[in-house]
Amino acid sequence: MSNLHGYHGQYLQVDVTSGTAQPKPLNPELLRTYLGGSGLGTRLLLEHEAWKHDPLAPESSLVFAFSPLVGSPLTTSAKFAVVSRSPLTGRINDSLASSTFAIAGKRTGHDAILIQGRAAIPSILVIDEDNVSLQSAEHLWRLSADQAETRLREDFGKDYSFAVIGPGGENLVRYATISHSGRHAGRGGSGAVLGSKNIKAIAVRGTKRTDWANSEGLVERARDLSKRSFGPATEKYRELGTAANVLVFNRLRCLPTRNFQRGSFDGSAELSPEAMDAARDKMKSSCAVCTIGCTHIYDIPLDGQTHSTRIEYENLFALGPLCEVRDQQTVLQASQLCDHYGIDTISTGGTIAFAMECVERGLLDEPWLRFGDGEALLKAIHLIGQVEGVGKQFALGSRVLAQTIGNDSIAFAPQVKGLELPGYEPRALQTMALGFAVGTRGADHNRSGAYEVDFMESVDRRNVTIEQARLAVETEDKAAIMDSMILCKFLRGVFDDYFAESSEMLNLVTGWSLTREDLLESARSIINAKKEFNIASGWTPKEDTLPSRMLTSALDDDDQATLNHETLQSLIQAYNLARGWDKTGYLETTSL
Amino acid sequence: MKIKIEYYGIPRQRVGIASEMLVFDHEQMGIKDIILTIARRHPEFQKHCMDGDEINKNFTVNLNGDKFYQVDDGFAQDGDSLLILSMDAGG
Ligand code: SF4
Repeated sequence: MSNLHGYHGQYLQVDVTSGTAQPKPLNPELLRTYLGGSGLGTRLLLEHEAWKHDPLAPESSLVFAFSPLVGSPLTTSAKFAVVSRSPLTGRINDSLASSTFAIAGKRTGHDAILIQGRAAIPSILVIDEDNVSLQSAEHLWRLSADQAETRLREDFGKDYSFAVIGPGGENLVRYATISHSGRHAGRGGSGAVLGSKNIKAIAVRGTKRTDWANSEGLVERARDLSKRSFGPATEKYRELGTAANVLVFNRLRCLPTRNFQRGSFDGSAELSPEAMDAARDKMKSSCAVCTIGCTHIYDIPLDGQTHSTRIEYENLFALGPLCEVRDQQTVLQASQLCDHYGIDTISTGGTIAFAMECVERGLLDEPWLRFGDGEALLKAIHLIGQVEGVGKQFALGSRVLAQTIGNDSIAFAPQVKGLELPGYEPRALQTMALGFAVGTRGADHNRSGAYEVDFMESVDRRNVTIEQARLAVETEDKAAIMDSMILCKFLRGVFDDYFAESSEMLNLVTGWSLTREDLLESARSIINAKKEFNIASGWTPKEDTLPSRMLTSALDDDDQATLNHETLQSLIQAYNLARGWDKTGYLETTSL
Repeated sequence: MKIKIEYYGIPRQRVGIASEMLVFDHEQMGIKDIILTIARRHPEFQKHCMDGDEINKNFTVNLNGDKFYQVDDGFAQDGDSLLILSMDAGG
C-alpha cells in the first residue's frame, strides 16, 4: 500500500502473450516530476526502451497512464493518456481521451497499465484489480468499437469500463483510434498498436481508491472550478462546440482547403454549427466528470434509420473543406464512418485529400477520387477501414503514400513526421507553423497551442518573428502539464495563472508543496523526455519542417500568407535554444 | 463612412445577426468607439461580451481579417470590416 496521496505508487505490466501481469513500483520522485498521463507514459516507455521496437511488433509497449487527479471531484479530470511509439510516425505518440475508463482503470489499483506481447487469438484483456486474464474476442472481431462496447456492457455488467478498437485497429490502419464510450484516443495510431497485440478490448474494474491530502480544500476548489467552467471562457464550447471555428477560420483564410492549397472554402457556411443546428436534431453531452459539455451530437437520417455523430471542428475541416466536400450530410456521414471503423478523422481526411490531388495531377490512377466528390470520400473511407484495394496504401498515411507515388509528391503530402496536419493553415498562422514543425508527435494542435499566439494583437500571424518562438514554448509547456496532471484543455481560459493554480490543485491532491516554477520545470522534463524518446528512435533535425510546398508557395487565396525555409529554420533555432537544447534540437544531456 | 460588422460564434449568438452595416459621420473612427456603439445598439452584447467599456477578455476584434485588437486601439475607415469573435480558437 502506498503512502502517497492521489497515487497508488505502482503500475501494472501486462504480457498478453502469456496472459500474466505484475505490479511494479513507481518512484515518488518520478511521479512528482512527470505527474501522470502523457508525462508518466513517456517516462515508462523510456524505461522499457520502447523506442527500440517496431510499434506493431509483440515487443512494443502501449501504456494507459492515469493521473493524480483522476477520481477527484475536479471537473474534466476523468482523463487518461495512451502512449506508445507511433506506427504512423515511428516517434512518440500520446493521445488523450476522457471516460469512466480512467476512473475504473485507476481503481484497479494502478497509476498506469503497460501492455506488451501479442495474444494468440483476438482477445479481451480483463483487469479486475490484481486479477488479469484474457478472454476470446472472436465474437467481437469486425464489430465497430461502439457495437463491441455495447456487447461488452451486456456481458460484463456496469462495473466495468472499456477501451475498444474498431476494424481499423484490427486491420492495423496506421492511424486507428482507441474508443471509450464514444470518445477516442485519436491521433497517431494507438488503435493499431493494440490491434497488433490481438487485443480488441480492455475491460477494467476495481474498488481501490486513492485518498486526497486535503479533501476539504479539494472539494472547495472543485466547486469553484465547476462554477468557473460555466462562465464565458467556455461558452463557445458549450453552446457551439469546436465547430464554431469553421466560419472564423474561413474568414481569416486559415481554414485548410483542397489539400492545403487554399485558406477558405466557399461551402463553409453549410458546415457551420449554426447551419447544422438549423437542419437537424442535436443532442449535447459531456465526458465523465465534466461540467462543460462541449460534445455536440447531430442526427444523420440515413436509409430510413437515424444515426448520430459527434461533431468537432477537426472532423469537419478534414472531411469537408480539405477534400472540398460541401454537402453537410455527406461530411457527417464521413465522420460517422471514421468512428465506425475507429480511424482518426484528421489523418483520414488528410490522406484522402492528398490522394485527390495526386489523382488531379495524374500521379495516381484512381479517376473516381476527385475533390468535391462526396461519394468518393465515403468510398475511400470504406476502403481504408477495410484495408481493401487502394485503401491498403491509404491506410499507411500520406507520407508513405507519397513515398510510394514518388514524383516529389512528398512536397504536398500534408504531414510532419508522418502525422497529418490538423485544421490550422500554417502559412496563415505562422507561430502554429513552428509548433507543427517541432512537435514531438508530428503536426499537432493539442501538444502545442501556438495558434493562441497567432490570435494575439501583438503578433502579425502572417509575418512572425523569432520572439514568437518563446511564446510557442510557453503554450507547449502548458499543454504538457495539462496532459499529464490531466485536465481538459477547454478549461484553460478560466485560469488567470495556469501554472500557479495547477500546482495548488496538485498540492491539494498529493500533499506536495509544488510551486508554479516546479511545474514549469516538470513541463520541461516531460517535453525533454519526449524528445529523448524521439532521438533514441532515430529523429534528426531534418524532420522538424513542413511540407516543402508550404515553404515555397503562397496560399492560392491569400498572397500575404507565405513562409519560407529560412524563416522557419530561424524560428526553429530560436525555439530549440529557448528549450535549452542545442540550436539543432539535440538535448545537451540525456537520461539514457 | 460605412463599416461592416461581422459577428462570429458567441457574439453572433448574443446579437442574433451575422453582420450589419454601421454608418458614421466620420472619415475614420477608433475601433474602441465602434465597439461601444455596438454595445449600445445590442444590450445582449453589452451584457455578455463587454467588461464596462472594454471588450471582455474572452473575445477579440479583428480588422479586415488582418490585425487583432484587444487592449490596443486602432482606426477603421470607410469600407473596412470589423470581425468580432471568440478569443479561444481551440479545436
Ligand atoms: S470540455 Fe469537452 S472534451 Fe473537455 S472534458 Fe468536457 S466534454 Fe470532454
